[in-house]
Amino acid sequence: MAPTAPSLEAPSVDSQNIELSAEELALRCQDGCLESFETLVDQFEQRIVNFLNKMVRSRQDAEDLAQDTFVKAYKNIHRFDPKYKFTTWLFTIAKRTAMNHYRAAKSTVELTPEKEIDERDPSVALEEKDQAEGLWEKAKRLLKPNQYNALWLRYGEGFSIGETAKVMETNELRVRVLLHRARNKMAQHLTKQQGSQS
Amino acid sequence: MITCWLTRREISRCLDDDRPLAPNSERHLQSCAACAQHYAEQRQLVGQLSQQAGHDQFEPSPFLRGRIVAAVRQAAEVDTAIPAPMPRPSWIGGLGLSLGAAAAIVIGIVVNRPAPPPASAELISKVIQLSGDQVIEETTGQSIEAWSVALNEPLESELQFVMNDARSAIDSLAENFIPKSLLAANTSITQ
Repeated sequence: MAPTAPSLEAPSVDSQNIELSAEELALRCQDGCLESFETLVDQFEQRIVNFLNKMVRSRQDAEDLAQDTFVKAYKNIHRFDPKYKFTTWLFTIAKRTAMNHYRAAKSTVELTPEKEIDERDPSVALEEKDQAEGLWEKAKRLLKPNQYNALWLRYGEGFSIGETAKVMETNELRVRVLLHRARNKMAQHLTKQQGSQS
Repeated sequence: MITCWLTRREISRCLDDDRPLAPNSERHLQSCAACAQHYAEQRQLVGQLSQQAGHDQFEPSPFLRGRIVAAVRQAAEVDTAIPAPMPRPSWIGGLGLSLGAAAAIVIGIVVNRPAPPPASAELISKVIQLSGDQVIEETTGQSIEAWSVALNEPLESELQFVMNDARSAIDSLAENFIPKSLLAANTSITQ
């Protein structure tokens, strides 16, 4: 069920919407203001796409999933409780959408083009790759998906532990454990890398 | 060692919650080089992660916003296209009750109706002898009911004949193939 009678032809309220919080915009949307939802799309589009890109590792899929996420959010906007943060609610929908996509993708075999064979010493190639990649790329390679997601939500999105737990649909203690392990693993790897460079 | 373990746990919690270390942990860092190094590494890592998060983001396609808005508008139009249920007039309930009562009376009359007269051999032969046109002419609700009862009668008698044949076949098989001593011991087989 979508919000009651969305006013497609409502007068422009963009200038007012910019000053409203995400929660207030969501409340307006519950009252049928579609333009408020469009303002929410403007505010969160990039963050959601990037979050989804972190989860699915494909820009095209991330954009498609972002579209699904916003449509789902609009259809379920009446379920949003303004007691909680809209960001957390939206990211939870995005995470579930990505998980569903991941489950569906698991059942299909993806054919990837053959890569050029690197004839160099594998250790040298790995070291070069390690130095060239950014910290978040390293994190993606080294950490388990849950650890990586927790790390991204905490330091990439700037969510608190409680918000991270809500998006990941787990408890705060589990998030703390995931973060602790993720940071330690990253720190160990970076120390080792520095040691090999010197 | 236990102090180191506790301090590292405290470091982890402080990094989670973005708060400074407790004074006792600070004191421990001044005396323990390993923990101090661990703290410095962890803080540096967290700082770099936050800093590089922005670099790692990509700009979505310029058409994405339009796609999302179009999809949302479409969802909104689909929802408004579904007509809302009309408010039910108050007299609907009364009408329903009276219709229910009328239906109950009709059912009562049908159930208590006297049973049709038993079909006779005369009726069966009449049905069989009728030509196609005559069947159409003589067909009424009552005649169909009477014919269906009459047509069931030969089926029942036919079934009875088959059962009798089967019994006599079993009896003769038992007499010819089962030893008499065994037959006498278990007479119930032939019954």
